[in-house]
Amino acid sequence: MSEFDVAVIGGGAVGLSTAYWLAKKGLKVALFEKNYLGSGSSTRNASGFRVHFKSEQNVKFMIEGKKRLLRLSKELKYNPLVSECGYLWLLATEEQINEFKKTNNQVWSKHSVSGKFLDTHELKQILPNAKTEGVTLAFFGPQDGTFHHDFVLFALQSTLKRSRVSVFECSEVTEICVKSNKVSGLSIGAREHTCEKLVVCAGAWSASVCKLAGVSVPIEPERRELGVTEPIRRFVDTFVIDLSRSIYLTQGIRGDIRGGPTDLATRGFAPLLSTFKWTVEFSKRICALFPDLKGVGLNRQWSGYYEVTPDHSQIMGRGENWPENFYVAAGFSGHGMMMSLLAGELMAEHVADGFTPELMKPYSPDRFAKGNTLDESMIF
Amino acid sequence: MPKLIVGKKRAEFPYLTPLDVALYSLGERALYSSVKFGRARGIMDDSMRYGHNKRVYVEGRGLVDPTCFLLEKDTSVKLEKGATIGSRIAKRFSEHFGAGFQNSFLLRIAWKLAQNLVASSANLPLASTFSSKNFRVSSISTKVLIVGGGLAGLGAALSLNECGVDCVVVDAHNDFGGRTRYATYPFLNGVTYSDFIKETVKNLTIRGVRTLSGVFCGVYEEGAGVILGHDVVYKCSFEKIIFATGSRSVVPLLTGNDLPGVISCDYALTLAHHDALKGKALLYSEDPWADVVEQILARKEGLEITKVHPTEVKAILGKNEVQGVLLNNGKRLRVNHFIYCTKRQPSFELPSQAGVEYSYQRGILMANIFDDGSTRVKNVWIAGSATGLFELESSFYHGRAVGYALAENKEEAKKFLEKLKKRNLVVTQQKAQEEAFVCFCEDIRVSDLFKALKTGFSTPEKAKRFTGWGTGACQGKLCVYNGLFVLCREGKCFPYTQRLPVEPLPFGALIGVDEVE
Repeated sequence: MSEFDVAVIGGGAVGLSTAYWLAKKGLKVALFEKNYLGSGSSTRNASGFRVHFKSEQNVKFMIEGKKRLLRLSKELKYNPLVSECGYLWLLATEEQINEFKKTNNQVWSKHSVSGKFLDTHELKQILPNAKTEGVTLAFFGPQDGTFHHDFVLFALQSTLKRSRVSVFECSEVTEICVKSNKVSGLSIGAREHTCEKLVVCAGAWSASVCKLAGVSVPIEPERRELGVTEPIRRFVDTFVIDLSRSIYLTQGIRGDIRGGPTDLATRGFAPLLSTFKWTVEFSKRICALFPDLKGVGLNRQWSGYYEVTPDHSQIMGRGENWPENFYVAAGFSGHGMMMSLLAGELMAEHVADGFTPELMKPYSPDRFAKGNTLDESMIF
Repeated sequence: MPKLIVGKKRAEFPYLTPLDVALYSLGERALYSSVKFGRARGIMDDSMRYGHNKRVYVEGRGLVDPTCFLLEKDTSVKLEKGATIGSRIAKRFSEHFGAGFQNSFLLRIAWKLAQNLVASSANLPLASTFSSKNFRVSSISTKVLIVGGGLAGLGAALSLNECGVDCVVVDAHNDFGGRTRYATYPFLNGVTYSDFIKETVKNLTIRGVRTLSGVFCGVYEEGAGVILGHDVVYKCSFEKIIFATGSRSVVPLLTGNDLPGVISCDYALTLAHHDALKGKALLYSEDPWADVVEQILARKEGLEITKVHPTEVKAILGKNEVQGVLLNNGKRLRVNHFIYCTKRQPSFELPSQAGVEYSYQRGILMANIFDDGSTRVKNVWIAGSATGLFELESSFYHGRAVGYALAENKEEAKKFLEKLKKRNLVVTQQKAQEEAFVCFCEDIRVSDLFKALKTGFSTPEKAKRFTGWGTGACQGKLCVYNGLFVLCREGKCFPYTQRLPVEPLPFGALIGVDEVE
């Protein structure tokens, strides 16, 4: 008899959510986090959500995922402050425009999430402060928006505290014990725990955790930086992604504008420090798009890791050759926060009940070997 | 020197004390308002925001502070409206559900309404009201960059200069000297602090040491630094850096600690220097520095000082400004300034951003350093009271020692290290009153942190995320110590991660940076 029915490694949004849903099914769950809950990437993100992806599978996933976000405040104690402010893509090249038009016609309209194309005149009305030279067309997705990531974490955290889940913080898993192709337990230094099943939700650190069990997953960390300004009066209403200048930004409810360049990333576990290059690039690009922001100050900047897979989509489930009770839900490639609630629910069904929900089928870990990768290029 | 109009235009500024009007005319600082509770709030400390933020004054609009308030002469926009949108929404609902904005059931069902509130928010400054002046871009290349031009920083510069090591000294304020810049009180050999500083800066300049006033924004990953002057931005490259950022007093956790009239002892010296401090003042004195402050202020005309030990004070009284103090023996003192001179804490944000570890124990934040001021971070050194261990004379000697140690003159360094006396680190055990403010930018009270503790967000890092403590415009300069005091009563703990830059860095400042290279 094992100590726990399921052990979850990783106390970020995905891990917390998985533990929450597993506990809801009446299982005895343990959650191991190497630092404190949310300390990895969950508390470092820009908190946007969108249903507009290039791949149809991701679109379908997030249509359901968004429902979970909206439901959160009813189900748990906290309000994630979901705001459907919409995503606004500023498109510059012929290629970008064609891709958006094609995806809109073939994918988005099929799932009733088609958005609106805006010409420069219409764009001016939505973004009166922007300098839109070089932008030929814009795409507005009204179903997308922002939320507050901390409240998602708080909600899950405080619910877990009240449930039967054993949460171990500052507990880095140092060893995973595999006997006759089956995980029997794990060690935190000298401490040992036994479990029936193991789920790895360790985000950017998943590859190294999986390695402990002899499993290899194609998840790589990628450092991104993010900054917020001092609070100012309402300036932008939507989540803006300017593909011509490679920058994204949105304004939070406190009035602070947060964002960053979309193309500055460093592969690998680069130290979580701030780079001067990022600050200069962000300043230049934000001033190019919104000259009015020239006098507004950058209040703070920080960095975090994306957990990137080759097709920029998550890995969920179990690989054919893996230990039979070993599962992974990671590699969300920058979309982990918005997908976490649904991902945890699906994983719980998969792990506890042993069947694979339709929505998570495309994310099998074996898809890379089999060549069934997703076509997801709409990332930033 | 700006013209003073003390007390003259009070009618035009219904929420301002004569002191604030004086400051306003000095163009130095502006009044802050409480965002959640709608009270006028005084200026605590001039180290809260540094020199370049002069944009608080907007032509034709009165005072505009980008952090949290807008005050116009026609008073059509009142302070009560609060400022950050979140807290205004919270205020609207807090009557029903207490201060727990994030838990508010009403907010949960009324998000649409909240959104409207957000959309109609008119109290934050418009982006266009920020000064969009153009910054000249320049660069500095030096062997050693010394951040902080107080006793320790200048001491280090003297030593380095004697050893022939090229160095540049920068300071956030217009005048060098840190807290001693206006201290007309005898220092070494009977020379006053301020004269000693002036003389030292003069000597250093003659010997070719470059001195700059401005704001240093931090060490970035590539080792680059940025100094932001009033109209110039310097990109600095250096081989080694000494942080001699000094220390500050921390607002006591007494009810009413947010009232206009509550000021730090360092700020009181600045004000007294500009003859802007009049009337009766209570000096809340815990630190030895209070004796110096008392001596200087006592000599100012029109200012009456009463010195009181923290254990004697029960509460600060007053409605819209400080009117008096309630003592533990039941006596009431009528004062209009509450000058706090509590145990000094290191100004640690810059060294901390550069990766130096600070820990909080028994009420004091201390740097994890070696004796000679070097740290575990390569090429980063800390001198003087920024370590949390030394002050005043010792701070100067430590600066001297660090300078010599960096120049690898071990013998001279040893001489000064022997002179060092560690400061008395015993902190008066004060009680944190629940109604007292911890974080003045985001309006977090002691009770909010207690709530965080109770809910399980007990470490500084978690409590910061739960309450928003320390994420406002001052970036924790005023509140981090008090937050730690409430959260870590026993044992050792670590402050939350400090983030760059140290001051809001206008986007426009960096546009031309690459052209330098």
